[in-house]
Amino acid sequence: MDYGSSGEEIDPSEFFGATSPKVKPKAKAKAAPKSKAAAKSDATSSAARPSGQPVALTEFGFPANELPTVAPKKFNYGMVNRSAGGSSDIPASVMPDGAPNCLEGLKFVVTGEFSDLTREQITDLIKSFGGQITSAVSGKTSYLVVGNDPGSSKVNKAKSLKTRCLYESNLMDMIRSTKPDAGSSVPETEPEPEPGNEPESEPELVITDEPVVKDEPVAKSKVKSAETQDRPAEAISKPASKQQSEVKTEPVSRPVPKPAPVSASSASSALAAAAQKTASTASQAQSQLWTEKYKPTKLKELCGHKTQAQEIMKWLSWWASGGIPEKRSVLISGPPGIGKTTTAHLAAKLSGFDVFELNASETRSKNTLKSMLGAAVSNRSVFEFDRKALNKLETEQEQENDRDVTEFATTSGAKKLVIIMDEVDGMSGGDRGGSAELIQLIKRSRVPIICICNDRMSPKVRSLANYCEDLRFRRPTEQQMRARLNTIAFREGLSIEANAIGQLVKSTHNDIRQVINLMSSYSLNKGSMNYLESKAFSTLNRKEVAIGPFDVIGKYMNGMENASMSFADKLDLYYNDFSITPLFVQENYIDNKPSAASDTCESLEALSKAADLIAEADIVDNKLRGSQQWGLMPLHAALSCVGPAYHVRGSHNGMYRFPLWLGQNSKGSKLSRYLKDVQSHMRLRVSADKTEIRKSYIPAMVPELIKPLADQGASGIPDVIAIMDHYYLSKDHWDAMIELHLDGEQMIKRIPTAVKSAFTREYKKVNHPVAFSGHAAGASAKAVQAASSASLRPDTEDYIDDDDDGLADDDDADDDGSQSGDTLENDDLIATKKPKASAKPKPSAKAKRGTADSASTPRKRKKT
Amino acid sequence: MALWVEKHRPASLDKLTFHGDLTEHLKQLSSSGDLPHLLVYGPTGAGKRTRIAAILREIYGPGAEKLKVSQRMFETPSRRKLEINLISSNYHIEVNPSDAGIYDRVVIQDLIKEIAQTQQVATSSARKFKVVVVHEADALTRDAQHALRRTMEKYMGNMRVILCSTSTGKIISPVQSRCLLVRVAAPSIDDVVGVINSVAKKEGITVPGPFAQQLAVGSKRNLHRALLMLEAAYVKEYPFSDSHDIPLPEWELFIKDISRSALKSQTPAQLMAIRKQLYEVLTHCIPPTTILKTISTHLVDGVSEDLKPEIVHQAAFYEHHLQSGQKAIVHLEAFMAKFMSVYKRHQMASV
Repeated sequence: MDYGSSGEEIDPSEFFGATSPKVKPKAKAKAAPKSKAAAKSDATSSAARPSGQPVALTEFGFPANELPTVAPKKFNYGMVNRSAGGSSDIPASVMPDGAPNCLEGLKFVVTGEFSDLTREQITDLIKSFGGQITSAVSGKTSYLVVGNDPGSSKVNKAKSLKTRCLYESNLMDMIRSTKPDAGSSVPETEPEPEPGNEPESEPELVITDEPVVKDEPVAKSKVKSAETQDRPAEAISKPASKQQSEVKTEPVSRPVPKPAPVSASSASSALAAAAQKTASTASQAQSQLWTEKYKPTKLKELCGHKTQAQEIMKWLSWWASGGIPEKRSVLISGPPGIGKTTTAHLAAKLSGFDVFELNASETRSKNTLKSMLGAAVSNRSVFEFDRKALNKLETEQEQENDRDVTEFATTSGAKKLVIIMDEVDGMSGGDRGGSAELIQLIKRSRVPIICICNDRMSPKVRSLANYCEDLRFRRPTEQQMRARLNTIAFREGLSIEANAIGQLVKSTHNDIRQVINLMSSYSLNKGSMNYLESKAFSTLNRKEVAIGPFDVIGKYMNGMENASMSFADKLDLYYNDFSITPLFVQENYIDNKPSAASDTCESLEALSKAADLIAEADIVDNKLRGSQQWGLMPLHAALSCVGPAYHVRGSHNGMYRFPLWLGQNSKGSKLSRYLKDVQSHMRLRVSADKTEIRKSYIPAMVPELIKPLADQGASGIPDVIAIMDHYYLSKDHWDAMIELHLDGEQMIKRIPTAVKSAFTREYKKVNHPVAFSGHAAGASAKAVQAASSASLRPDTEDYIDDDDDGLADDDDADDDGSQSGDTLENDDLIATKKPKASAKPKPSAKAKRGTADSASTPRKRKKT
Repeated sequence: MALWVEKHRPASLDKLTFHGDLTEHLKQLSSSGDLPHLLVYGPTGAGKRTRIAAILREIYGPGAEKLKVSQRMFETPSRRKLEINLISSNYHIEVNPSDAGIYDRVVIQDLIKEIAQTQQVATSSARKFKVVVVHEADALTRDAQHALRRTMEKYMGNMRVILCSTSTGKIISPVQSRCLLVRVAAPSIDDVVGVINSVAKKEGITVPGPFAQQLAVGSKRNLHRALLMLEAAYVKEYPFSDSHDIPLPEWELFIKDISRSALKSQTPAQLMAIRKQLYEVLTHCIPPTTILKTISTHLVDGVSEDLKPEIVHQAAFYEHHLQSGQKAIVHLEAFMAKFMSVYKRHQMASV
């Protein structure tokens, strides 16, 4: 906590920074008209600089009212997009030399486009010299960095606040002005030193500063393990604070060797220094991960979650006092790497509980859980009883319980026990029944159980959550983590800039564990980290976080967010869920108000362009899935999401909708199934194909199927049934046809409800001709298979049979089913054609009927 | 209580009223004792299936009219089960392999081979061979068509194939060359009027000449539709007047509405509303091509002369995309968006 600031003060790299906050950025300094030249002449005396320079830095540039007036204008996304997509590496030729952290304490706002660098690079540049970037001009803003086409609101605000402004060249001059003389030293955090500087500065550095360099944490190159082993003892005795105090004495004049390759001339001294440094931490660091080593041991060392930890402790104190809380378990949920497990362990430890942890590394099936925990949760702690009872209980336990638990129970001493079930959402596969058993255990537990999961909403956890106190952990903020990270960095001798920590935290999405791991692995190679390095390093180790489709669509459609992403970023978004993301784009692009369009005409053009791309994406998608050419996916991503989003990006009216296409598609396929069914039944009478049935027959027939009922009421029923029978249509087909008709729903309203139900009754009363011969579609799949293989055996008997049948009974199909059934009693297949069991395929509920039919068929057969 | 279109369907070649030359030709074919493979093609409602049925009757006698429907299970190589409806008489079998989607090859291979390998045993039959009628042959995938081509030659002794399609464009040439091509053109307006009049006579109603003419034109020379429209008009209102409204199918009116609203206002909100309507028509099983065609016809009617070529061009372009795509809505919507932006721009320019 307090280490954070103290670390800054003594850390040499932050020396300038430590002094600068004292200087109010807006302070009217006496040295006001200090020019660039003056600053340079000053720079020769290094002692004077720390006090003098920041004052001068506030007086660079010119007052805002000298800026030309900027009329409000549309935001030029094209420009921003270009800059966003550009490479973020600042070319060495443009990179100004300057003292490290020379801009610390100053707040910058960047506006417009720049000629030499992109906006992002300017931002990086300022951050790398310790400056802070804010998005809007305020009273605290030190400088407005103005490029071409500056934003009108920023400029106006700056004018009203009289903020000082800088052009790109001013900024460069300002940074350069802080540069110490090339002869005296090279700033340690200079990211891209000009090659010319190195040779002249380096020899000096080695000669003059040898005694300090030896203790310099930055020079720690642990690679030299040979030396490390030779001299451990004396190094260990040297505590870190001592090193630091040494450093403190000579902070300014102490230059630092280049971090990475040690040049030949300085090799020997650097080696010696490295060996010493490494040895001091070797014994600990090599045996433990940083995350383990710096695990919080006190409540105040936690980063965030303090209230949650206190709640757990409160809950545990209930148990400790012998009571049983209403909820016998606590469910901790939150994203990975934020210290859930750590907090749980810490809370248990501080409350004086012993921890028994089960995590995904163990099998947690029903049986194992039962055997491992069953006894533990159901027994009062044995130590609550007196010695005599204890002995008795122990023998009993040993007989009936698993050995593990007994052992555990006995070795847990007088302490109470808490069970931590880690990673409960990972209980799957092998952990059959584990989740259910866990719930059972919780219900009757006499021991506190803490469950930990990532995804509170996963179905596995949801049922569990009902029995648990819900405790949600959020990602700790950068502020919460910063102090702790500074402490760790300091103890490990890694010097790290404030902005660099911010960058690491941001890139890992506030995953403190990962930040520590990143720092740990970084420290193996280098001893200090500045902003640019941290940015490069964290991009290498970027943490991919899957985001939901609604967030993805937001990122695509929102003008600002879209502009801030590079093409590659946008492509990556698609892969969050490549099957649904295009649908989301397709669903929502029309509702977006393209910010690039000034009138309806232009926005329609933007929409049309987007629609064209989506249509082309559909063709690609067809190829992609049809012929399994998954290599087309990037193209599909570009066409289906990135392109349309580019055209329509802007503001969105209302919420983003879930794609309708899915529902419409299934409705469409349902209706086309109906149509197929209707067609196959009408086929005996009608020669038309499906399309023709839909396009010509349904418009003509549906009125005939409805009108008599609507006009004549119940007396129209026979007419309708006559039509249906002629075409072998069932009542279900009647419904289906009306559904297929676009105005069907309107028309059916004209039929009185009484008539409708009378119609249904009437229809059920009489038997109806059946189009299908042979087996039924409604029978179970197995039966159908058997039947179909039988009926389609290349067996000529079947044909003869049917032929005879046809001759004997001329209009078989029109006849009553029972009559034909009588003449064919031997035929298994036709038996199912019997009146009521007539298993016409129903358009709906086919599957449901299936079981009922197959059950009833055997009975019917017996009757015949 | 059959619909007129079924009731008055000619059952034999003798009773066919139009395409006299073709009828004569078919008569000779079927009476010759042998029959080549046939590829019958022509627009819907021209009488392809009626002619196929008539040929079958000519060859096998009335037995070919006793149809039954059955269902059969096929298993794809990936062990997926498909249910296909078969319509068969003792002499022929009709399949619609497009029901099986991309698995139609399995249907073709299994079914046709099976039938082809089985000899006709029924002594009563007049011919040695059975006939397989493949409906919607233009919907057959390439794989299925390739599966068909060898089968057609190999089992010529036992089986004849009659393919029925709307055009020959999608039938691969090896299959075409194995078939006798029979084109059934759409009946002329006069033919349609003739049929309408004869049906009216049989039903004992009077259809005024101009109304019959109107029906023929309104049905786009589709005989199915002409007769169904006649009957629908009859159900709705009788007697007919000269300028009686021809009852357009409900989907056509619906689509007309869509184009009307597109012409009325061109805004993103309107596009959104149109998307909803398009979904509505699409889910009700109206083929997307029909939708696009109908919409563009109405749009072309509604715009000024100089814009017409552009609209037609765009319609053709998106129709092409539609064919190679999968999600119809996307292409229809793109067309509508394009139309709106073009039309709006044009209007702005002319103001």
